[in-house]
Amino acid sequence: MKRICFIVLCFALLFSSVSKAQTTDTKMKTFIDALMKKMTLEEKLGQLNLPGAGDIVTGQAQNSDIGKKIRDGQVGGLFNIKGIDKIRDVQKLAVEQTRLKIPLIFGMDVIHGYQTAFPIPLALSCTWNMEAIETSARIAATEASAEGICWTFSPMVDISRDPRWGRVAEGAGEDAYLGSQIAKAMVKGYQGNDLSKNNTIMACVKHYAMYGAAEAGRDYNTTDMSRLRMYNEYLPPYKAAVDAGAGSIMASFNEVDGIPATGNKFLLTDVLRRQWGFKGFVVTDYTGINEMEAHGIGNLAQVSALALKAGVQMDMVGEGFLTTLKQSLKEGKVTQKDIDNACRLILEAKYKLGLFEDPFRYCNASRIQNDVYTPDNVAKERAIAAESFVLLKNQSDLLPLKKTGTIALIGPLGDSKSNMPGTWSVSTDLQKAVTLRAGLEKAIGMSGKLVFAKGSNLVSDSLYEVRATMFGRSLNRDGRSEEELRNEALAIAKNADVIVAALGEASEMSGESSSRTDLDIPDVQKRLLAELLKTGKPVVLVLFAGRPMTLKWEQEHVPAILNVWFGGSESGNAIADVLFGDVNPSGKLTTTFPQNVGQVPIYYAHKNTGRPLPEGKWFEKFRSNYLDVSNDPLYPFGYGLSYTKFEYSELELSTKQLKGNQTLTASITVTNKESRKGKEVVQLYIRDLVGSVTRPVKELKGFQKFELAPGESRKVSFTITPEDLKFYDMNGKLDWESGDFQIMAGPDSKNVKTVTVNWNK
Amino acid sequence: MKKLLLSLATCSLLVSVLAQTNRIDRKVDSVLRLMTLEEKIGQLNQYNGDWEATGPITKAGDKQEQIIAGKVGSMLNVTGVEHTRVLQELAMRSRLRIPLLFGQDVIHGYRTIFPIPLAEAASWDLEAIERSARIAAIEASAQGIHWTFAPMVDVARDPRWGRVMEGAGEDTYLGTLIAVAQVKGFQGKGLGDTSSIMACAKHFAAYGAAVGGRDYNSVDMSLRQLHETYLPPFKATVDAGVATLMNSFNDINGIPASANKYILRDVLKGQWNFKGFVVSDWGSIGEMIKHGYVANNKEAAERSIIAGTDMDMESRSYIGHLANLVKQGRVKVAAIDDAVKRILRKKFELGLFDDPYRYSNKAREEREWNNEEHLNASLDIARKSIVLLKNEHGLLPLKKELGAIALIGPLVKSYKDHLGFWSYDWKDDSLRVPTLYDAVRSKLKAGAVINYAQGCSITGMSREGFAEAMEAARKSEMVVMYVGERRDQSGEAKSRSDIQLPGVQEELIKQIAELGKPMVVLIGAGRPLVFNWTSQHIPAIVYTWWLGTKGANAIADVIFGDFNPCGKLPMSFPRNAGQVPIYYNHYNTGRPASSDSDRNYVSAYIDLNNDPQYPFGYGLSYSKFEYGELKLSSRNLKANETLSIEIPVTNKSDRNGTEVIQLYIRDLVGSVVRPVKELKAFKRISFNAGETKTISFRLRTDDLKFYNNELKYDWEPGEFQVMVGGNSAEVRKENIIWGRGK
Repeated sequence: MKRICFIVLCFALLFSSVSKAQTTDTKMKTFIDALMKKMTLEEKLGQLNLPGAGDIVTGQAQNSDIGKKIRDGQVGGLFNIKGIDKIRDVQKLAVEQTRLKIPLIFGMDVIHGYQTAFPIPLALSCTWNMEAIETSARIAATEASAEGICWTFSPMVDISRDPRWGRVAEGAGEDAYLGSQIAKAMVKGYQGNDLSKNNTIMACVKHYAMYGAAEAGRDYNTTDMSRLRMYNEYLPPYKAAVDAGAGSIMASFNEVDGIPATGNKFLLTDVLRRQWGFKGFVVTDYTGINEMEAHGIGNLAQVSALALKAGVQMDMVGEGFLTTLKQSLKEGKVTQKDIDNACRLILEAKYKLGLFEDPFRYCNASRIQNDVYTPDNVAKERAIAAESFVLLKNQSDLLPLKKTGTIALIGPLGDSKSNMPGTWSVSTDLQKAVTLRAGLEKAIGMSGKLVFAKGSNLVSDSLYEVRATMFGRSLNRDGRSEEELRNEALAIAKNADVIVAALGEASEMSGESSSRTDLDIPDVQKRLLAELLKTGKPVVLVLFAGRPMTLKWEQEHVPAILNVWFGGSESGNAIADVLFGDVNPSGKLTTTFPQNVGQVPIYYAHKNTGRPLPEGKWFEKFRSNYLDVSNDPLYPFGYGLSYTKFEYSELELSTKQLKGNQTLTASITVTNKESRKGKEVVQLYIRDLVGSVTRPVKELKGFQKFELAPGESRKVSFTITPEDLKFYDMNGKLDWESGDFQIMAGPDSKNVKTVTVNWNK
Repeated sequence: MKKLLLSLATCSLLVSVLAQTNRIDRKVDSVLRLMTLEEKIGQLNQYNGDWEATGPITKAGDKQEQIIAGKVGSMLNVTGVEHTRVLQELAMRSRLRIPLLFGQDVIHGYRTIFPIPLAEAASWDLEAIERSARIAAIEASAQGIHWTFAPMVDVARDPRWGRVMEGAGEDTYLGTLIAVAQVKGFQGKGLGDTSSIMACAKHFAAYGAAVGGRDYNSVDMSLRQLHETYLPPFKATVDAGVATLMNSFNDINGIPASANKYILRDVLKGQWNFKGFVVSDWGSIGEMIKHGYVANNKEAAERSIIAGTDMDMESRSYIGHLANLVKQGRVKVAAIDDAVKRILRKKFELGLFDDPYRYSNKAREEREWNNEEHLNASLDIARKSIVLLKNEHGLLPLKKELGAIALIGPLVKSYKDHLGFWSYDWKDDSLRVPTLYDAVRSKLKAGAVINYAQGCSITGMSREGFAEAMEAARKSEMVVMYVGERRDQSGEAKSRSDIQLPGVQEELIKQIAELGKPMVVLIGAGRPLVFNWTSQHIPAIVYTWWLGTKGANAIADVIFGDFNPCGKLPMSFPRNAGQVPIYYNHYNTGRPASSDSDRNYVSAYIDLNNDPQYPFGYGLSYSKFEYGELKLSSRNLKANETLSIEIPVTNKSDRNGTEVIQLYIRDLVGSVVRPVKELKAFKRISFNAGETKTISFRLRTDDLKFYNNELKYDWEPGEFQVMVGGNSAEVRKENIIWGRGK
């Protein structure tokens, strides 16, 4: 009886929520139908237009060029305007001085935090902590929405296996499964469960699609791959974000199968709408439509029509839609229905955001005080940053350091505020960021002494340094010679107990348009590091990086390496927390670190090939290998050390013979063998030994992160169902195939315990 | 019955090709009808002949028994009239006396070694390339060989991949012409002529696109890319009548090539109507187990035979499992019959049913062993393959009147390296293959001093020899350094992640250069290498690849001016490994960089230029060629019209020379994005000193075709850029409109 009641109740709940959604949808449709009936063709095209804001001066929006356009109904939204007053001014123009009073949507590149800058996304992914990642997006949304923003061009969910590509900094690494989990967490964090709330913002999944596969790692370059690879390895995170309800999606710059993504009907309509059922709208990337002219597939009118037909709804900056679609409609190149459909999707987004109800919903000055850069937000940022750092090496437990004695902090990244937040931090106050120097000083207090020297410039080539420190991220290039700078550093290093070398990339050496062919620590810094090591003092390399770097020499010579990426507002404090052991590092890599650039692309989920190396050999004749380097990465996917040691038991499986929809339980016991508490990420991988298409040697299928007290053991269990075995086959069908599977679990993708099971349909 | 066949064969002289084909088909059918299933499967089986040094005894004696039992259709690595005869005699003891095929890796010459294929490609001389293959066929066939596993026609854009040395470089068009020339050369007047050997276009397909440039690695690409870039050389060889194709090791989009029904059955045997047979690569059928595509060798056999691989090289999948698979109904006899017929047809065409020993002629073997003409031909193409990369102030050619010259570097006194990978080591090589030292010595006047020092080894890190090298340089009027790779640093399973000059060689160059002597650096290698410092600081650089038996003579001829260099690079030379893949016919992208300094928000690197160190098609001469204005017959063409293009080219020097004039086009707007330029024609022209010639090309709409999004091969009307120049980076260009109408 109780059970029946429960079922009835469930049905009732389900019914009420369905019907509530239906009423909302019906109400929205009625509203938009009525509105669109009143709209002229020009007004409809205006909604598809997302121009650059230009320089709007507070209070002067009325007189700006953009102001005129808004009044003329030629603007659907604006992006990257910062400041509640400006946004309010502009919105007023739209809702007071246009014929139909349609509010604007305000977008911004809120990529990893707003005022409180969180670690760059690649770093965030290394936490493997979905709650923390969601929190970072939630705080970003809360802060951004307090200042008038209702739409962010995030998350970037592009899978990338090429560390030369600067935008690896913005994504979640190389793995489709982990990337999908993170995509979901980000969308949830931004959008919450109700877009119309004043502290949620609409997510924009980008860059759709395959942008991360740019040839030779050069930004905006061509991508080319099979459909099979697309579906199995690159598309899952976009789909996960769509499934999580992402309100918008951004077309990528690159071409796919010879057709730029912005004009690619297969991607934007066949896959996105028909196969995935996406209900939101598609925006181009910055001048994405116009750039199709350079791609060589038509003039502005042609590519604008192509984009609309393919499934783009909003045109960012280029005004191809605004200036050509009317004529194309006359010529029959596009239909009224195409335009209406695009306009409707944008109006729907505004409706869902509650902008028709209250266009100033996100302009609430009192919230700025209460919600932005609060001590709580900052504290959370610090904790998440510390969790994102990856301890790559810690010989003889050099780390954690004591807070006593003399610490020599040396390196061009040691005392730079502006380089701490990382690339794509457009809305944070760079000067609020905590440098490593400040963080260490604060942590040491009166118990020890910190001395600092820059030691070197970023790189010997001054023009390169300019390119790598744009947008106010100067490292104040020192005019002294390499030797002078180095000698100054060596002089203070001599009298120190330990050297902390703050080296690596400037924050603008990764990110958009920041591809590198050489992934080493830049020349002068590398030479500085070698000299520091010669002092005989213990050296801790604190590596700032927006991408996997090539650290073979460093791994061989430096006793301790902590990769800190770009940790956001509280970087210096967070690094100090980890260096001194107040936080035990627990980050794990989400991209493979190559031994050298010639190994690229290198990724853990590769195919076996027909001539794999025998176990335990780095070279054998007539095997798939190089003459001059092993096939192994320097640090594998999933790798990261802790100050404590975790011991793994053998892997236990509930059965080794399964049928159909049975469930397999895989368990492994992890024990903290030392006297310090610590967090571990246990990773589950599966290999499908024989497939109708060749399958990767391992694929991440689950992970669990938890803390263990000293001496504590935990039995971690994973439940595996046939869902976890599925892949897209040659015919594009998602299914699993009977056969043998290797089940693997361990602390990283390389060190795993393996048991084989047989699973039949 | 058999006798009837033979007598039939003897009276088939003056017949049309078609009739002959029909007749052979009938003969094949008649043989097939006599065969048991086991004998059929035997025809699909190829073994390696592992000869003991002492004589014709295979280690695995059972192979001999299997030949007698009719279980072997072909052997590889059995050479020499004597050896092949012994095994053929065993085949003649089999029930049906079906002759064996003898296959061999004759890649760039046999007794006479020719330049490695990548070097030959740099000659852009199709006639010389054909002659090289022809001579290889003459020499190999004289040794009882029926079949070479060449040409390799894999387009490759990744210099990390060791097998770039075996191919024609990065360009599909050039690669296609070279592939056809090689097939023509190997197959000569046609199978049946005893100096012809069957060619084998390999590796089908897209092997050159191995991920990370790591040999045997996975390949993944769109079908459009596959058809547009990687398949055309194969299709051209099929159209040119290539007898066989070889599977590649890689998987293509998840399915190993050896069982890839799409490329084998649908494209090759379907769309292209290929009548020859497909052989696996070594063990590639069995390797599908490692690929994770099949669970065992039996499944491997099943998938491969169904997909269209006809002959199994050393996997023993077919011989071990096909009979059983047929019995179980998993493989139809028709699939096996199709494969057997393809193989038998080639045996008939080769005339082996008439006379299984027709390639076993002792007198011919001896006659062709040392053929002066062959050596001359090898020298000829070797000289044409050399690429002059830099020659400031006319430092080259050197004067023969030099009093003292320093020859420095680990390759100066090597003879073996000249032979390159995939060549044969003959006992007398040390006597017949000159070193650079020998060749230079022969150019100099008596009494001239050569100060030689090795300086360092190729890959070693020792700098102990630097001092001696410095001393040699100091004592000399000028320095020639010869550095590069060891010959076995490129080739199969010879991928390198670091493609710089190996070891401390560039350091040695730097040291010697500090002396300020006039200096020439020769680089021998099987792939494009990175040597940026040398490029920037050394006045004269010559890329000499591996040039074969007469390689050192060719180099000496060039550096002393007895031959004016004319080679052009068939591959882009990157500035570092981080630029790979880099190739001239890339797409424009939506954000092309306008110059080297234009890097912000354009497709560029923050630490390096986009352009290569040396572009595709590049190579200097001792002459200086000046290109005049481009003249087009029309700027507005209709579908059926032909565009005539003329350009005056002048040799502005007092030295005769040869130039390769290259025509590129760009389709400015396509339904799919099109490359920034594509080679469509070239002419290799000799000029007298001071001579001007008007070079003309013709283009038709066929030259504008490409594979569109629906994989339809067609052209699209619109605007095109026509470009002509001496390399892919420096061209004269004009735009034209080509419309659909008549």
